[in-house]
Amino acid sequence: MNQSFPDEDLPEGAVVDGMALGRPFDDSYDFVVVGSGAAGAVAAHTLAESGASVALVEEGPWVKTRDFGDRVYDAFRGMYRDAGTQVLEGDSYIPLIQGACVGGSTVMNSAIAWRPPEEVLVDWQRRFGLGDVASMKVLEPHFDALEAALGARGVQDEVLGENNRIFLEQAEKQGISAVRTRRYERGCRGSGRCMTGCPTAAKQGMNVSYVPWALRLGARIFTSCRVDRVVIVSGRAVGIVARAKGGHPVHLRARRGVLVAASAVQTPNLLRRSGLRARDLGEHFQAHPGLGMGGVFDRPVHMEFGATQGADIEQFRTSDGIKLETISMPPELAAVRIPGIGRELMNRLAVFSNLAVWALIVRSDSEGRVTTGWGGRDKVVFSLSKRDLERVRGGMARLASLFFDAGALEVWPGVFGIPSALTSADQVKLLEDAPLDARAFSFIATHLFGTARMGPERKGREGSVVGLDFQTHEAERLYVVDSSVFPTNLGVNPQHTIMALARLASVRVLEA
Amino acid sequence: MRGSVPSAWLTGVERRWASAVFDTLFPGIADEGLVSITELDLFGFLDQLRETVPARVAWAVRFAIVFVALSPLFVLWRLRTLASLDQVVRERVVTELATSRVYGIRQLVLILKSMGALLYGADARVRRRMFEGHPQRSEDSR
Repeated sequence: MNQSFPDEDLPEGAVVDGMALGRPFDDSYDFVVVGSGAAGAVAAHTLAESGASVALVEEGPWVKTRDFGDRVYDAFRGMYRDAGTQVLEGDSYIPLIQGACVGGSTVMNSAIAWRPPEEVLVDWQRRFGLGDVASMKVLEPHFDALEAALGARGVQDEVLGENNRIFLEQAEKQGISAVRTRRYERGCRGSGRCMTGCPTAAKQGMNVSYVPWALRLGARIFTSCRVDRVVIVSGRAVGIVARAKGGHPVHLRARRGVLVAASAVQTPNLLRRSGLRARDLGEHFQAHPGLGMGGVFDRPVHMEFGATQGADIEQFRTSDGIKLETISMPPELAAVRIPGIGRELMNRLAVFSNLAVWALIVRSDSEGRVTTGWGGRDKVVFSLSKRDLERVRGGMARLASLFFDAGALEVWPGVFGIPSALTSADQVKLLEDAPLDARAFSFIATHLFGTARMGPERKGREGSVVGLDFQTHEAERLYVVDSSVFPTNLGVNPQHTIMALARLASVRVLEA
Repeated sequence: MRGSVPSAWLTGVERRWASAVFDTLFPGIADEGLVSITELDLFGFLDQLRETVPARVAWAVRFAIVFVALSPLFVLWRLRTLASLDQVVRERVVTELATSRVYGIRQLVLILKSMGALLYGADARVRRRMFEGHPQRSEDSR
């Protein structure tokens, strides 16, 4: 089998591996882009397409498609920030999933391509003064271009898998509007391995799309290089200083600008290290906390085959603040959520084939804060509000009902204070009365927003961090193009919106 | 025990405790074709873990091992460690911790369960059993 993947046969000299870098490095480009995830990769490609010289700097390594395995621990070690152990700290500890490799979180997410809800964009325009930056009319051509480039489409029949099929069928029976998830993929084979990196490069993560495309247009990527700070001289960004994993310094000058796309957790601390002092920097952190629920059927479900996330219910997004979805879990992650220890756990693992996992994400009202913790680490403080928890337990009750109506023999809610296995629909009401205490739930956080908000005005250190031209209020030619600029969360998976805004931002930077 | 390479991280006593703690969580069921976690390279995994995760997490794992190993002292009020109890009693003790009203105690068990699951769920024999009946993925895990 000599299949070649898009992350192979790259132009000579296009990749500088910070792990292998044997000397200090100094170079000049038109633009330096920090971060190679959804935002940074698209920005780098858009800039390179215009003929500009571009350096893309990524803190993590480039793990190639050929090296992807199906073991979660290997993926955690090689591609996840803090080896998958990062948490939000607040009333409870909530695992926080972020990629730390070329392609960022797009390497291990489900490549979901939902456009943002119209009402969210209207809210951004009205409440935060974002004007046409947040208009669907302005964003539409960018969505169209991204969807065409990455092959966005609903999950195909042959890779739907039982986990998704049961969910869709049951929703339809109950008159609930459910849809097949729209994803960026070209030829998904249903390996169920989105979380450990797509082994066939069918999933159009940035590692096999916009990053290699940018390199083929002449861009260069510096991998395993952590940016210490953006160099700002006389109020203008002129480059970055990074440290290669091998220990050598990397100085990259930027003639036309530095674009920061390091994520809503890393971007604010990078800007702080670069001397920005806006009071709102790192504030207003938002996420989509989510949790999964297991249901055991009397027949095989085989989560290990099919689209990892292939079905969505958005009907309750505006009314209840929740989105319901499927998520197939690999054994290592399912084992954590399966109730019990010892023989009880073993007996449940023995019926893994019959297990389905469905989930909810909540469009949380809560806001947190990104600070710098001990040893310089990025620290995120975040707690869910009572209102969020009410939404969560309502969503869990809906999920449990769906499970029982679909014929599940047992439902595993994973809520402290509630029986670990519910065995009849009569018990669903227990979830509606679950304690309004974040410590009772097993949340996980993805989708991060808001720590360098965009807005038209700034008074002293108060107000927004970034202007409507994506440029920081404090330093010229320093742009923020990731979801840090989002004034709020979305209620749907944000990758598509992040990429569209990054594309729009890059076009505007080129026009500036 | 396969792969029981002496660990520089955990002391000899802590290794014995770690073995007992993880065996309590993932004891295996021979009839179901599920092996005990102690048949896997537990110490190799723990050593690698120490090198992989941030130091604060590695210390949390170590603390959790010691805490759970010594928990019979305050769960059973007996001068015993988990390693000296039989499996049934061990499970009762650790279940007490896992369902404790104190969030921090529940989290300590969860940390160990999470880490153990990364090793256990990745084993080819375990996966073969878990994926049983699906020809494509059963084959993959060989």
